Amino acid sequence: MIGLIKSEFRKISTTRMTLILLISSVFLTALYVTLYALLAGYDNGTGQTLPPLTVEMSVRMVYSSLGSAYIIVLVFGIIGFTQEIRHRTATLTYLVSPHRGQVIFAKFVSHGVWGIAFAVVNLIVGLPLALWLVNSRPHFDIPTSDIINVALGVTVAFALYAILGVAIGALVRNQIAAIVGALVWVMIIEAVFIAILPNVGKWMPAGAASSMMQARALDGAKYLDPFPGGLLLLSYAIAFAVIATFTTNRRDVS
Amino acid sequence: MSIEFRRLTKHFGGTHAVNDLSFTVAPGRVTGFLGPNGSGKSTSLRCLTGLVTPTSGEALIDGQRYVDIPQPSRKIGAGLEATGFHPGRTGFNNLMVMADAAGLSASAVESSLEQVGMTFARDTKVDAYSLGMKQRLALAGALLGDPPVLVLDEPANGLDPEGIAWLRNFLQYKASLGNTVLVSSHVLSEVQQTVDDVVIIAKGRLVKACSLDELVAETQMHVEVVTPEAARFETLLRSGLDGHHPSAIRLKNQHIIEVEGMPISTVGRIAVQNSIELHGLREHRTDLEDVFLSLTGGTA
Ligand SMILES: Nc1ncnc2c1ncn2[C@@H]1O[C@H](COP(=O)(O)OP(=O)(O)OP(=O)(O)O)[C@@H](O)[C@H]1O
Ligand SMILES: [Mg+2]
Repeated sequence: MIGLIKSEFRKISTTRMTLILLISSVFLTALYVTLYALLAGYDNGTGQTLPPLTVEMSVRMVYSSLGSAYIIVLVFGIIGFTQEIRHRTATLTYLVSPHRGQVIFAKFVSHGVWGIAFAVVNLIVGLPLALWLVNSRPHFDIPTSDIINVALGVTVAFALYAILGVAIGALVRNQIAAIVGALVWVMIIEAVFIAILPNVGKWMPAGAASSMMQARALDGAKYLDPFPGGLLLLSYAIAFAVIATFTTNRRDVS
Repeated sequence: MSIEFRRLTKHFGGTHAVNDLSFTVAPGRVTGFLGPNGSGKSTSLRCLTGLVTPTSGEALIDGQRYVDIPQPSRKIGAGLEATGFHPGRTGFNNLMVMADAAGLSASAVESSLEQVGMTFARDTKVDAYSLGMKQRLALAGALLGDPPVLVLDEPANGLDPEGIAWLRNFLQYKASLGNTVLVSSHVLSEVQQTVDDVVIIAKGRLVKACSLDELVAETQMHVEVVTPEAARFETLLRSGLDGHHPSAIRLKNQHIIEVEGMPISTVGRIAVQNSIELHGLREHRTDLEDVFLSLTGGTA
């Protein structure tokens, strides 16, 4: 099992896509943090886009946008599995380790750890940026412990999203289909639910992730509390992981 | 250690890829696993290595199913796919990923690369490899755990003549050490000089399992006729002369007919009596490839 996990870590570190995704995630985080901070209180003539930073919700939105790159972490996980199909490396992987459940488990572990690494890198860049942008203007002060909790929430959410990605990849197998499907789900379906039916949306994976990042919906509707939100996301990850392990065990590799 | 296929059957939906296939592969010999395209060779080997689940029957290595072997890389080395490498990783890293999972060290990787003559390309991305280089890397992957059993699917594909000669020596050397070596091919002539035993399948069914010598003994003398009137002559030959009929007639192409089981004198007489224009008439021993083709239903 140690060897398998080591192998999966080596796969990740010897894939150029890892670095590309990591850099993209940092750009995305910086972009969102900056946009939320600058749009707060900005009036384009037709009214304010967002309330100014003196309003609690606006400040919280800046900090919760530190987790914006969870979509990229999801893609990272998806690629972690689907590239084995795309490049036909699954054959060698399963020849060396015929117990596929162990292979998937090793992928969950390695990608979960890398999800944490994504979060750390994003926080190292994004958190000082957010603090600076907020503190350089009149703003509502939220407790430091809340900011720390957001950072923890981002970290746990990224780990779970990476695992969720691996599981989705194992279920769908086709790389393009899995990525496009996941993006459509996150950016359109979940976004629509959260905007129109927030009481349903908050129970979806992105809703759960948002709760961990202590986000506030635009209409002020509240997500779950961070802890139950985290448990909900964990349940999604486990459910997908179990189904993915089951289907992967049964599939012919030819 | 021997390999044993026991009534192996695999259906993909309506496709009967492998049907009730049974044979044994003995250690210390190179066994050729032969059959035309789509005859079920790769599917059989994938069933043997646990990648494909048989519909029924089983394939065992030293009496064990692949999934039940504790450290499979140390017992059986399988090279099933030359293209199954990550193009963005170097040859070395592609093998290291396997070595990690198998609990083997970097020195096992170096030594496998050395054995297949790929050390020079160890730090080149597989993207830049030729098909022949990928074949060698696949073989290196199979050799990682220094296993006593080798199973290779079309290992000669993409190799130049020098590479094929090298592979032949290598496999024979491995077998001479007492290892079990099973290599598949869709052309008998490609492995004819390499193998000791042959297992021939067609449409997923066993056609023949014997030693190469026994197969050679099946080659027969036949009469080769070259004529511009091949089609008409074929009909005449089939009707025979004085109750003598050939045992087999093959129309090789528009101009060449092969006749088995009829003396050359009789063939000549039929031609003369019917004023057939002949450009050639000679006795000839059937190619081993023709035996293979007729066994696998490749010719009429
Ligand atoms: N995953 C699959 N799904 C459906 N049919 C398959 C699958 N894999 C193989 N087949 C079918 O099974 C049959 C045997 O294929 P297989 O690849 O085993 O033949 P082969 O002897 O290796 O051929 P080749 O010499 O071309 O490599 C073919 O008809 C093929 O189309
Ligand atoms: Mg094949």
